[in-house]
Amino acid sequence: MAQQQKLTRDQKRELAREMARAEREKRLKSQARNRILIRVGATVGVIALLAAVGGGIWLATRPAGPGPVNMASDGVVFQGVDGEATVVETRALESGENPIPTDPSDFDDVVRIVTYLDFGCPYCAQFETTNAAQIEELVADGVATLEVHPINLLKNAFLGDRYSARSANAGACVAAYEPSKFLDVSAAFFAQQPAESGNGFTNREIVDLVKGAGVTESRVEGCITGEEFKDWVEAATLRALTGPLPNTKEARVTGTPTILVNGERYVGSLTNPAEFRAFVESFRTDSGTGDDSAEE
Amino acid sequence: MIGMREGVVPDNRLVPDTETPRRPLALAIFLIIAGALGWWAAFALTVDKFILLENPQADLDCNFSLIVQCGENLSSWQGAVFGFPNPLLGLGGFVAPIAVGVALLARARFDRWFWIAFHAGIVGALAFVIWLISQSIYVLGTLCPWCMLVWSVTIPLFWVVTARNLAEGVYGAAAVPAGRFLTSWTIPIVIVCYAVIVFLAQLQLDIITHIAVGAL
Repeated sequence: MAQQQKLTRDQKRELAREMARAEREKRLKSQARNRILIRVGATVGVIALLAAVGGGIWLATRPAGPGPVNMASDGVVFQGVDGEATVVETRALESGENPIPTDPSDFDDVVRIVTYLDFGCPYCAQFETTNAAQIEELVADGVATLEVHPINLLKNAFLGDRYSARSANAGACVAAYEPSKFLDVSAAFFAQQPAESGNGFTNREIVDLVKGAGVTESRVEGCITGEEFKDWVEAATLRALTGPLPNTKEARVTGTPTILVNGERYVGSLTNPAEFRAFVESFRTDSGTGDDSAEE
Repeated sequence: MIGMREGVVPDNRLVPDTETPRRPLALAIFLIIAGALGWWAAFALTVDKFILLENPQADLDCNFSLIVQCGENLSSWQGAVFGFPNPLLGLGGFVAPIAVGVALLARARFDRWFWIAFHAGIVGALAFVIWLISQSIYVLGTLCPWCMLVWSVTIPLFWVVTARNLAEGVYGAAAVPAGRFLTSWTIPIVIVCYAVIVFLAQLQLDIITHIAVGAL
């Protein structure tokens, strides 16, 4: 009997303990949600703080991103190969790396045409619509090389929509990913140039323009809409505007277009193809009319 | 990590005074998983070290880019700071949490000195890992995948065992409340530790830019 009584007491105690435990569990359960919320909140808060600080520092200190492939000199170079104007392939510049000037001795006995252009600049459009075709022909025939530097000169034009910067980026995208279409894209930019006093094209419209000029490489589109070479455009523009320019006596780019033939600046008419042709011809060594006095 | 989630809600709160100790299932499973992951990483690093010794130019599986690679770490003096390759320490050391975890599963009880020794080993491991993290990020400029797995398990091992020892009274009754508090905050603390490492790596190595240009 005593044993049974003891059992009952045990059971009672067990029951009471069980109830207390259940009550406690209930209370803990109701607290659990708050406890979890506090911890999740604190964690998210600290991570958000770190992300904000880290992101802020990153935005403030990031170097100019890597440059586009084929533009190690800040310009894209074309030479005649088998009767075609063909890109001279180069690696991309690393972040913060200085450009590697094109070495004139790589192209002996060939006239070197270097242009600094803004796809949004009307004078560039005049020069290009007048001369682009004959320049490409000279390059294809092996008479000349062409080095194009797209820069962002008209920073404040196009109602501030950064069309010059974005179009220069698009040029770099094409030079990097589908360079065989670069000259066609350049021609399209100048043929369809929007007026400086209004808005430029949006990045989507630039993509359409570039595709219209024959670009099919899919990376170009993302490069344009994501402005992959935005930082590089700014860095290359700054380098062109502050100088010194390589392979010329010209100190720096003071306006666009700046056209250098064997280092000598072309200051003739932008709309007279014969005048520019004669200027180029004057540097030809193979035709015997060459004047290499401009060689530095 | 799943094992740890349960480990932070101490079961002993619900049953404070039972005679037969409850099996600390979550702690045991966490120790086994963390130890196994750490041991796996140490083993992979050891094998990679062998490959490098055979052929210093070998293209290791863990070499993904200039930043994400382990060749640099394995070849550095920091990778063998005690005169032999560090992963050998891991091969031996990570057996301890596995063994303790398995023993706990079998309801083993350990003396106070054992828990202190276990904790001391883990504190040493954490100190070593902190030094390795600093060397990797600030000197070598790399994020070595297997090394990061070692960091990732050593950090929660430290917090979980520290909280456990405090909460279980290994360091005196006065430390028990602190231990319980720490136990309930283990997961947030571990996540924040991870975040701090990511933060430091970003500041030093600019991972965002590397990802942006597809060079990571």
